[in-house]
Amino acid sequence: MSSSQMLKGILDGCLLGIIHKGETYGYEMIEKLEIYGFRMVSEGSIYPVLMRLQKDGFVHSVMKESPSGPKRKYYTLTPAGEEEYEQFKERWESLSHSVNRLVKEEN
Amino acid sequence: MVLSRESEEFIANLRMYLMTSGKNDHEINEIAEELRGHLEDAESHGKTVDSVTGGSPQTYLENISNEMKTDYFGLVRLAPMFILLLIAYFITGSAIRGDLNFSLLKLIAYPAIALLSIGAYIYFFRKMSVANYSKKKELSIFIALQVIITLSLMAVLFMDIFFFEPFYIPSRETMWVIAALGALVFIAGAIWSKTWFTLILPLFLFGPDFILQFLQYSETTELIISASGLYLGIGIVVLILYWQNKKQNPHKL
Repeated sequence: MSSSQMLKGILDGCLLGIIHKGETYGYEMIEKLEIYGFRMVSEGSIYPVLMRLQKDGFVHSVMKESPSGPKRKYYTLTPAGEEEYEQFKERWESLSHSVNRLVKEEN
Repeated sequence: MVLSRESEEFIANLRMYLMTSGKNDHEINEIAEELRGHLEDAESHGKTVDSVTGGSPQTYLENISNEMKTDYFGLVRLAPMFILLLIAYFITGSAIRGDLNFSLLKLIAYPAIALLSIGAYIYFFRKMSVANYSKKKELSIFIALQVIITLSLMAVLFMDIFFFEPFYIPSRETMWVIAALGALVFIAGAIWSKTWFTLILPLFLFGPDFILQFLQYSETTELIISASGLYLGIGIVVLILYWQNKKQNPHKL
């Protein structure tokens, strides 16, 4: 399994986390993800996820003209999105704990 | 900022793919604009359109499409105007020339050919939007399609003349009323779609026939005038569309 396949299931949560840190747009999310070390994402793959998050009511978006660059769609978390992010953190905490225990025991 | 040709093509393909998948116009514009913004940022950092699609436009477009709901209501809303326009294209010319008649064959074969050709066009539009064919191949497919449609229409016309009796021939006055209704449908269609060529095209298609009704020429002369009027008209429309496109996307040419 490649790391991008592994990431697929948790990209939703990671994007919620990035947006949680403050209003942002697609390209900036990619740059922020890269700072955290995510380099395997094909950049476009965040957009279907963003569409899904919006459909589920977890994010709110607004189009803004930018003075220099192109028109951009800025995302913020809705209260439901904040709650979803809290739940994601808990799920990830317990999952990563279990995986770590398993992997370290083998070594 | 100006996008590369590959990126412009990708955005155009995205629109085409989603449109032929029956997605909502507003949502299509939104994602197209968002991706355009992304591509502008990406290209100014030296990346290509592959950074967005991950190298497979087909998979990527499918992923986007899956997240959008199909706008069946929008499609149903389009249908009545669309059907009216189709009927108007089929009968206005004959009504003006005064040779309109209805036979069983026409009633069945014309709608069937119309539906099949629309289906074929949508199928190829979708295929082209993901397949990355060369311009030459795209053009050949369209010409082949157009030839097949024209030939089947001609076949129906000949079979109709030789083997089928019309069950209804409207009076000359009724035909003029039908022609006027056809003109109304074209005007309504142009207002509704907010495109001028939906009005200009029928004008060139049927305008010469209309004028010829009031002039006394031999049948051959009429045919030549009518046909050359049509091709001149189509030529002018294509030329204007080309100029418009050039003005809007100067870098593409």
